[in-house]
Amino acid sequence: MKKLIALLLALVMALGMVACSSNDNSSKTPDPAPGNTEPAPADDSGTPDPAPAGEQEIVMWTFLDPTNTGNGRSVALAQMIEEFQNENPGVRVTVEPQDYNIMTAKFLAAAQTGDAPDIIWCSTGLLSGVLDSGALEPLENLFLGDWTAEEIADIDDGFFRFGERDGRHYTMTLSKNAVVMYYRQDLLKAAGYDAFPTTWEDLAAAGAAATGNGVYGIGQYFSTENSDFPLMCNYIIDRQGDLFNADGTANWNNAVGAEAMNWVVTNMENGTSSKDSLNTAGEDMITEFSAGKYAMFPCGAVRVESIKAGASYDPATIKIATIPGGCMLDGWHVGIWSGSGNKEMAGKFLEKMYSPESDLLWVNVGGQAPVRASTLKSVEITGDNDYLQVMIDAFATGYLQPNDGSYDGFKYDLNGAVQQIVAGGMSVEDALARAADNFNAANGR
Amino acid sequence: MNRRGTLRRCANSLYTLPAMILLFMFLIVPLGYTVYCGMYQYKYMVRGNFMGLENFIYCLTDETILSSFLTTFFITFVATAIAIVLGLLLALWIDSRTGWFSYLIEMIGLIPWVISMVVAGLLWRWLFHGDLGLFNVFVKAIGLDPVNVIQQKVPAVTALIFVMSWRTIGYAMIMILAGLKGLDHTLLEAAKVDGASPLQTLLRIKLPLIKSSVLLSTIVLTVSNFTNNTVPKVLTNGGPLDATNVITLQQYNMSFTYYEFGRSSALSVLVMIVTVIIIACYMKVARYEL
Amino acid sequence: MNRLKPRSKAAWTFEFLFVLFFGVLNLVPIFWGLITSLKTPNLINTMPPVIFGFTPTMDHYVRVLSSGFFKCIVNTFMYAIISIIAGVVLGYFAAYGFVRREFPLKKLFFFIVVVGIPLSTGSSVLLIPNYMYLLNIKMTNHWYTMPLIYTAYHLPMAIWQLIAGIKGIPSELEEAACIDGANQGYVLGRLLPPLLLPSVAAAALLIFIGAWNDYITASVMVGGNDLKNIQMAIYDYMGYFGQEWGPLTASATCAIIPILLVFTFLGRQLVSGLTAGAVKG
Repeated sequence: MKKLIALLLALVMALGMVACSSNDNSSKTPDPAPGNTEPAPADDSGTPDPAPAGEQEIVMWTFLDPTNTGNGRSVALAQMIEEFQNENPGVRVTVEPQDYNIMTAKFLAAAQTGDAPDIIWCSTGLLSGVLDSGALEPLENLFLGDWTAEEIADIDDGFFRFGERDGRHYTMTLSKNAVVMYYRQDLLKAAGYDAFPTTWEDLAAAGAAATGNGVYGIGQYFSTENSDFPLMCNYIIDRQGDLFNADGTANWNNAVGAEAMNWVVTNMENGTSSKDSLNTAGEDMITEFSAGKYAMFPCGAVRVESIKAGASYDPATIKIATIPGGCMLDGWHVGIWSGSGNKEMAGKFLEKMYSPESDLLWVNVGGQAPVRASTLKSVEITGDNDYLQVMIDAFATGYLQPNDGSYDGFKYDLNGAVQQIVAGGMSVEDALARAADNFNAANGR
Repeated sequence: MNRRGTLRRCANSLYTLPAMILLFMFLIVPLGYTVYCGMYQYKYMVRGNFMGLENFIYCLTDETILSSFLTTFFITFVATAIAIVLGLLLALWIDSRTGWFSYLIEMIGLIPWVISMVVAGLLWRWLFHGDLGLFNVFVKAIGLDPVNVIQQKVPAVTALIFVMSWRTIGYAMIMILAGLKGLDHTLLEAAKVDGASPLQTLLRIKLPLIKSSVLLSTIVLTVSNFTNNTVPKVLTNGGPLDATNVITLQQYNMSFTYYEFGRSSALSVLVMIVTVIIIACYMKVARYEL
Repeated sequence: MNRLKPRSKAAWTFEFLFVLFFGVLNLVPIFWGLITSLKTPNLINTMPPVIFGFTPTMDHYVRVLSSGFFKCIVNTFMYAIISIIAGVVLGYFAAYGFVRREFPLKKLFFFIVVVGIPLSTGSSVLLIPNYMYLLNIKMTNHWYTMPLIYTAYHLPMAIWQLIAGIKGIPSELEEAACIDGANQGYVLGRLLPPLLLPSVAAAALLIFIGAWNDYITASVMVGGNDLKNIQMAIYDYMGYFGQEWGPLTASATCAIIPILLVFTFLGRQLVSGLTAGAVKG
């Protein structure tokens, strides 16, 4: 009893202190009004070694580490930073690489307390939440207002519009990615498929034909930690155009969803896909594909270089293709913190990362797809970079999730549904209904 | 009590005060802050409506969370029991030995505990890999069918329990061994002279006397296994079919998949309350006092 | 130890086999990681896995060590050393106070220490609220952030350890010294520390292991290359560019080596420290 009282006492004290400290922080709730340009007090205490007086420091959080020379995108970014610092004396760009799983959460927390980085990279699934929190500055206030219609047309695509809210644009997209099908040309040829199948029926047939000798035709994976999309997403989109209803609720608890799920499950049951991949994550899949376990598997197109580098067979036989119905798209959406004291300069650096010269760097050094229509015209597609053509096709026909509200955890729910069916013995309909209920509840619909 | 005495008593608290301030700042206040966050809606870190105890009630009534609690209790209990029992046996065995032999066992036993959980979890995951791991090479070598350990329910839970006990057996062994080394040898000699059998000596004399070290290691290991996020995350990541979805992973997903920080804070508080109750129970059972 | 009977040959064999089994079980992940780190990426991805008889490559080590790994080692050592000093000193005074002195709120303070054990062990559960709170008081992302947090997180265990150590020293010793005219400074500064050395060593080692092996707290509380610790450097290789098993196992091996070295030299101290500090029932 005494101990209980002591614990309560301690808690009360703690709460008291928190209550005091929370008063002043509630007044700092960010103003979501887009016109809010009031500069936050300059505060460099958040950086390990503050910039010397007279020097302006731009802090950027991303998963890329510019000191890492083993990665094309990092090298390209490092070069852009160097150029930018030469063009703008007295400005220093500091990249603080972050664990990408927790980067957004950290940014949102930091934005609440007034100590966030000037530039933030945000992944596709989380952007709507970040926009809702009002932590990003409309780019129209910084530089986009000065752009001509022609210049905007050069970058205006689905990714650009993804960062739009109420007619203003908050982000520009880098590292555009499409989940494409990786396949081994030698195995598909041997199975009698010279061209990559374009329908779901053909895909299943090609997978079945390529299965054998310890190789599975289609690699599918369903760990709930996946940030990749299960193939049934593509199937549903192929058949009905969207994963969600107009009101944002799940639209897979229907006949099309069941058909898509049956396609997935049938392939596992007839051995085209391994049953032992219920708890496999995308990273394991890449390792296993490199080891030669699968003839094809879906994965982000940005990974093509590293997958080729790790293959235990001839890497030239690894090709990528678009998935029937269009590929799932995502990318990193780069925005400026609305509370930053260096908004103008941060905007200038974002512009720099999106300039035609930088775009060429991203393409040639970083192995990325171009972000500008004009760059696209100037890039020559050869045998070495034929994956670029697939990426460009994938972007033209792919599916980007809606961004008018939160769509959290649908990949998690759909992967979970497959686990329920295959390992838990649940019926396809029940599993889809459960996944839909989970999704709708989690997103408040 | 006179004034001088009171002053003196207050001055005595200066010994503990600096440590207490640090603990208060970095452990107690954050706990209070978590309770506070748990009472609000915190979608995407933006503080919304005051919810009172709604988040807590949600966590206590949600089916997935409750089954996750049960999974966690089971895994924690089994892993801790294995570590304590084997640690106790090992300690009793090497207590009778000296020199390089016991030193070797102590050192080997502690290695899993001194390497980081990220590294240990990763290396085991890599070792258990169905096609590329050493485990199945061994399984095939002794003539059995290869097992894809982290892909199936029972093997995945077994693997998680195995790795959790693996990394803590050495710790339990050393803590209990420390208790045994501290025993009064004249007592043991006396028991022997009185004709007590080794088993009687063990049950009647040794075990009661090393109660505290067994208790302390049980507390530490139970709490450590119960709140272990790293090993399940790296090794099995909750799957398959939520078989290894321990409560800390549930809480992690609430935070970083759904960005429901209010609810996840409420769940954190519940997890902490459970651990405090576990400790209180142990201390009650062992009648430990300062 | 003459209370033991001489062992038979069978018992010897059994013990030898057991030690072998125990050793293999405990070391096999490290061994497998070491083997993997010496393979080329293509060889790592070869089915079935190759165990012996390949040409080892040092490429992964070169890559790991050339990408700022030393800076991370230095950072981690700095965090660990500051935390050890602060933790041992604060823990020592606190433990002394708890064992030898009476003061108001003693029970409550001790309760905070006890509750502190699960709170710090399970701190990953409270991570985000913790981060928001530390942001509020502007304590994140400094050189002193991690040492302070590690000190606080390991203080409860250190205090517990040192309480046991001080309890093991007869209080008559202090009383005798005081009668001889020694002051409190002498007792705390000269008399007790040598007697407490094993407990101090044990507490210091616990802090070192905790600080060296922390990933999750550091990855949230600090960011950027300047403050990165060694586990964050390892984690880099399972990040966005894929789980690269070669560099991953190479950096894991590099991170294990210092702790094994420290442990081999101080391990004896740890064991005898824990022995001396055994909590008497």
